[in-house]
Amino acid sequence: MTDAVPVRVLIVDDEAPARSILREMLSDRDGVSIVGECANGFEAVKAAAELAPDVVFLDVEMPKLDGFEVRELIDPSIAVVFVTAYDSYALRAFEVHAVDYVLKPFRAERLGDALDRARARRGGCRGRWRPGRPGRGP
Amino acid sequence: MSALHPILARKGRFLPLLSTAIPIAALLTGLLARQGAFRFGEAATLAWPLAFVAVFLFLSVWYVAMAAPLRGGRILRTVVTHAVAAALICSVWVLSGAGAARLLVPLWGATFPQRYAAQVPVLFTTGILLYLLSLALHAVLLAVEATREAERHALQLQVLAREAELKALRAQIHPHFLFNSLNSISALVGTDPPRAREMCLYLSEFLRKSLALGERKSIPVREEVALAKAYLEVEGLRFGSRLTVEEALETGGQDCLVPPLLLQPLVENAVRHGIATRVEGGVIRLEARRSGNRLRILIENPFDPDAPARRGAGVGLSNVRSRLAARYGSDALFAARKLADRYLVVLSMPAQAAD
Repeated sequence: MTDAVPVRVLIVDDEAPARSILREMLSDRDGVSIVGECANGFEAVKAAAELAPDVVFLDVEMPKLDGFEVRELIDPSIAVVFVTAYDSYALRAFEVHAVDYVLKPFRAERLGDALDRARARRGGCRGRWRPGRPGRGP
Repeated sequence: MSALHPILARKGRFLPLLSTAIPIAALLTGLLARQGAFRFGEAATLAWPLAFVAVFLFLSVWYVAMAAPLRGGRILRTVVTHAVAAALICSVWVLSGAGAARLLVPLWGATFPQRYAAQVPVLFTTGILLYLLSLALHAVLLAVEATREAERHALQLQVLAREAELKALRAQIHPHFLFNSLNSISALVGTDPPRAREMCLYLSEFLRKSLALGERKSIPVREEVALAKAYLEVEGLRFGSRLTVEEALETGGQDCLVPPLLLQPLVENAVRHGIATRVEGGVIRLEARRSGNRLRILIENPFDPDAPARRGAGVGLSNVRSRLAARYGSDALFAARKLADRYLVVLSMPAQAAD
């Protein structure tokens, strides 16, 4: 990756292996710092407020709050990438302005595309963390 | 139905059919002799050819009965059709008798055809009665055929329904579970290869078993439970310490037969709508017990009452409910209850021991 805009990532999934593959693939990317990992929706909302991530990789089916409820409760400017085994939520994800919708299991490249889209979206929304670079539209 | 008369369509029916000429010949002999118009010998020689012609002529009533069914058609049309057909058939029959009478001239004298002609009204009336008798018998035959056809159809539908049900069941079980499991394997390959391999093996075991069991009509509870455990092993690798399984399987209960994959949707529900909704996870409890001639199966799991309902809730339950009803009718009981933070499913059905 040459695009080394720093990006703060929060990983949210209730299954440990699912978190670990996200961690593994995302940490290979330049400029990515994983600021936290959460195992349920409630933790995710709390972490999103405290850690102010740029991007959340969010599972849909989780204890406490599901992915869509988390999306509603966190800062709308945070880019959300849904990561789930269910393709049936795709339309709803689009409606809540998710940046991307990644189906499990996935390739590192696919996750990288999602990350790039999230970076671009953040570029369009807020400029403080990536000065001087125009955002690419999704 | 074929164009051929059902009696002629099968071998071995021809002789019984010919033998029906005997009572008809006897009847006609009696009828012709009683009138005083013929001596017994004369009546008999006339009656036999008439009887054989009648047997084949009145078989054709079947085609009329098919064309103008007694049930479902318009009454006037049916009556007119049968009246015309009866008149035609009886005319042909009486004419064939006249032919026979002419052939018998050398035997019974030149006046024989005229004496026959005098008996035509009686024979014609008899012919009408034979037509009605034949029509009644054919109506019964058609009704029996229709019943058999309906039974065949019902059986076919049953087979189709079973296949469709199994297909639906498989489609319902696998995809998301598979994708999630493959995602776990994908993760473990990097961090914990031995566990990734273990997961592949459990997953294969589950798939192999579920495919094999789906082909069978009934399986012992122990095999169904083994399948559920293979499934729970895979889920255990995903959920880690959040998933615990507790089982109380009585030997008598384990030997009872159940429809294959009956418990699978329930165990899946227990994971997806139960364990997966709780941060701390919990225990899935499986129980199978035979008491007398009843088999009782219980599946219990904790769930988060505040969690939003997940998609597909109720599909598995209604599936199990309808499969139980299809197999046992009102003899099976299915109950699903929410008790505060626990979910309880109880099945009760007739205990059928495996051979």
